[in-house]
Amino acid sequence: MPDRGTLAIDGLAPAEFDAGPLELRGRWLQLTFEVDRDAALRWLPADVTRPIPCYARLLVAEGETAAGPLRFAALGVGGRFRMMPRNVLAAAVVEGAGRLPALAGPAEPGEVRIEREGDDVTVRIAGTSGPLAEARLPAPYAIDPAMLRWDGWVVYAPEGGKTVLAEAPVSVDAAAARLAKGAAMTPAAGLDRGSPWRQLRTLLPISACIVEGTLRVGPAAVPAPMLLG
Amino acid sequence: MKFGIFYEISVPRPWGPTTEYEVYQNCLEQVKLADELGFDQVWAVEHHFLEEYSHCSAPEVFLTACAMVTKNIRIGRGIVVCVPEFNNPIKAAEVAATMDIVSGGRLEFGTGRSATWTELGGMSADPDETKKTWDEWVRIIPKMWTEERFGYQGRAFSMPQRAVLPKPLQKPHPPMWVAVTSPGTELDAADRGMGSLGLTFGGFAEQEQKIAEYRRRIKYCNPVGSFVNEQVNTVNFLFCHEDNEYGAKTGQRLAGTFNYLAEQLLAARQAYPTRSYPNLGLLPALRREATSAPEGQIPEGLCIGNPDRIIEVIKKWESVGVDRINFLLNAIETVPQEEVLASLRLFAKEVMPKFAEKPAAKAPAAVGGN
Repeated sequence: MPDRGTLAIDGLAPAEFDAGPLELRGRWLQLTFEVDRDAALRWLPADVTRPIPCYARLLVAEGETAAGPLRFAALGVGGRFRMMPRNVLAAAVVEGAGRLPALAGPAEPGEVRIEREGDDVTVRIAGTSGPLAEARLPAPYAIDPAMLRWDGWVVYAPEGGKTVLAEAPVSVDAAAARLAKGAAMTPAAGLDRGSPWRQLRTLLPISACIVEGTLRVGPAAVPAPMLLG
Repeated sequence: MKFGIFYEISVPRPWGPTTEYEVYQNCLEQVKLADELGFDQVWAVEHHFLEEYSHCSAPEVFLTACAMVTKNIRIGRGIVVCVPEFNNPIKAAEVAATMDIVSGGRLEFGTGRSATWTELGGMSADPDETKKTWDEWVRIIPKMWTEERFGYQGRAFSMPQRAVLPKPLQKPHPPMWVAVTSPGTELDAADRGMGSLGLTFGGFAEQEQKIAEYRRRIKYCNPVGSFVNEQVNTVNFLFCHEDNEYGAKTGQRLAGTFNYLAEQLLAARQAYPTRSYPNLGLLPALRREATSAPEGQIPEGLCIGNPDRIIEVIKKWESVGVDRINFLLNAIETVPQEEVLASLRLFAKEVMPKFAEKPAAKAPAAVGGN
């Protein structure tokens, strides 16, 4: 049967969990890329199985929210939770707001920049200890936003003194979208070997998109128990 | 109504030194028995890299072995991936013709283009291109079979004039099929005069609508081969047992295991936005199938349970226009081999005779060729 994650989740839930929802009007990017199998299993909990091949998702957004301007980057590992494709949150950086609703697992304050460089779009992500990762989307071209799909995220929530898995659905109202092939996420030089930004680096690009519109994540909720065959 | 068996060849972990050997031997034993029992066809997929789910990357070899241990059962290449990073159209035509010869004219030739990023990415294939290359290949392969010498200048493939050899034993050539996992592909099959090799399990109403549209469209087709192959083939699970409750329970375990494995794959559409893959294909259909029935009930279209129940299900498939049903018999050896063989025997004894007097699957209608 499929491999299960090996991440121990006790203690991963933030003390003050904000289930969201997060609603952001602006632009965001989503990169999908293949990652190392062992690294993926390290960042997946036991209730999540790994897909074949293992992949990660990087969601980077900037825009306006009800709480003010917000920029964030969320790095997740693709997994199957309750037989559905989900992104399991591994790390997040937030800039401009006190917290990151719905995706508020291991979020840290930092800097997130989305910049256009010639025909390319570049993302730079830094945490409190310095640069974490960079992503480049080469020559994105316009596509029909309806072609894009958005998997929900799995995050860690406190419940009854324990850490449990919660799901945060994603929905979008997209005014425009562009697609890039060959986009990769590269970890910053000198990162600690245990950092998810280093472990979940790109082995093979799959796809990347840039979207303008409204992004909604959450509210995160703990699903009812389900028996699987 | 004709019946066949269908192989993904799924191999359970842990993979010991002989695990794959044992699974292949079990499959060959099942095929040999199915031939003796009067099953009409055996199909095997071409999949790559799909851990546990399918270890069937060289179906032409497996199917040739099937042909060598059987007498009558037709052998279905289901399917040749018509993407240059996977195969070559000349080689595909040559291998198919050789299979047809050594099997005594028993080949059914399925075509397709892969639907998972797992495979497309692994082969460095561009998902945006697969439909175009598939369309080109299905038009030229029958010409390689039927023309003494063939030359071609195309978009994704070209070759100088050569004799592509050998030629198939079946004249003008083996029946051609298209794997249908995405809604709409059955219309691609109809427009090209090809059989619909359905790989989804959807309920009766959904399939009835698709089959009706296929039948309507194929009347006006421009066949890519030398004849129109108007047939609808579908895939189902089979576990037949005298005890309906046990049969249904075991069958649901089989279906659930298969679906669970399928869910671990990465559909092309899921990771790579492209008009070439407008939807998720097989995976959501499997998910729906696994969860379509209320707790304690059997999903309506599955051929699991006792013979009486299975007969009723097949009658419904027949009434919506299906010509052939191919059965998945196992998934990662969830069902012990002896029970699989017993299920085949019981099905052949109690169910097949009920459909024997029905009109056979439509013979290919010749529309010219040589």
